[in-house]
Amino acid sequence: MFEHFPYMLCLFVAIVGIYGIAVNGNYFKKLISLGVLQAGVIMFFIAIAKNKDASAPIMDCLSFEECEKVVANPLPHVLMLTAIVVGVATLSVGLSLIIRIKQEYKTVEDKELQKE
Amino acid sequence: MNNKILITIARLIFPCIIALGFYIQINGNNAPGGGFQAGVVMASAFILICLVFGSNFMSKILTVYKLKVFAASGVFLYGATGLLCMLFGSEFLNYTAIENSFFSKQTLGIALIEWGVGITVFSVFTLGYYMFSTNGGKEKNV
Amino acid sequence: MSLFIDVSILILVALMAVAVVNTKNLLHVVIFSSVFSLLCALLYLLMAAPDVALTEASIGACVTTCFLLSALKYLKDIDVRAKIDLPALIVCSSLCALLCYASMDFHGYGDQAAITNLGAVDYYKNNYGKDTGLLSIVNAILASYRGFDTFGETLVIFLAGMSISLIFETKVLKK
Repeated sequence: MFEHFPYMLCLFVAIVGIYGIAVNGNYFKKLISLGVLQAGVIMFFIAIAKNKDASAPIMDCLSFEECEKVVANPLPHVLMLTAIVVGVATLSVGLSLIIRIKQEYKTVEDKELQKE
Repeated sequence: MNNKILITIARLIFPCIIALGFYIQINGNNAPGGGFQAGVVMASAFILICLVFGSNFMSKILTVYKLKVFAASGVFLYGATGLLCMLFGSEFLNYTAIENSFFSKQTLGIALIEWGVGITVFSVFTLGYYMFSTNGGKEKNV
Repeated sequence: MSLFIDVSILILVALMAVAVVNTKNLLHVVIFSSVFSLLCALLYLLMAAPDVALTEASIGACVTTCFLLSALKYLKDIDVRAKIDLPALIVCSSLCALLCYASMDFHGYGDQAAITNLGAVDYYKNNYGKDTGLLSIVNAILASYRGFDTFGETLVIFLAGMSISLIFETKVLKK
């Protein structure tokens, strides 16, 4: 059970992000909570990929049999690189939409925008 | 008066950041790095210039039109590498077709696409920060 | 020992996440999110992922903070009312309990006999030198084995940049 603590804490961070999206009325804080959710999921994938006493997946020679090196699982690292960059692209488009909403409707609160 | 300290430090640090960005880009094969990280580091150098010297100065070095063309050329470089591999008789993005004596197995294709990715990421983040800080180019001198 | 260090940094990260979600002042939220990203980058370095750590440190702690701060000057009100919503709390904590119970089915943290080490990763680990000539397995997978996904990702970044430029440069038609 104590070996599964890192997974539980990563999923806790993701659920805190979901709670932040649901509860906050301000769109700006909703967007930042979306970033927290993404960070939690990415942490979970990197935690799966770790091997005990393993080092980074950068080898010293071109074939695996010559230099025996215990290496972490490289496939989740690759997928999470893509996920981080796509996350920041989404955040920037969302921020520009929030700025335009503020300029048009003078507010970014949830309840006041529903009355419009 | 405290602007003089910022301007001096920015002038000293800007070439170091660009050199670090080039280093990360080129050493993507054998070290942690590659196109994405290098693009972001170089964009942060130009964000520093935009903060310290003002967006008026920034729009004289890199206009919005040049940044957009730069971003498109990065994607075009990526696609052109794939089409180049098709010209040499193989499938799309199969880099063993453009193997030659100077570049071993697939390193020529990988170097070209990493430069494409680096150029696109750098110009998109610089363009994004410029748009946010000047309200789309309308309020300069910020 | 490494489990102890990782769990302690993860507890700090969880506390920062709760602080980001529950703070009232928007400027404080931006600064907390920057510290949160920096702690995440340290965590990735401890979990043997230097590529991801470099990307997260430069994107999360630098570029995201710059974007958020420059967007904050358009939103003039910086004090946001916070409230505690009891149904959402109950639903989220039950979801958390379910997910934690499901995560006990995974392999232990750092287990080398894990099932995720088989399959495609075995092929990549045995053939990265013969096929690509690169020393870094992560960049070999990203650029060569999964090169098409990276093409799509570059297209997504380009589209995001063009979208920001189009949204900001709209001209309002005067009727």
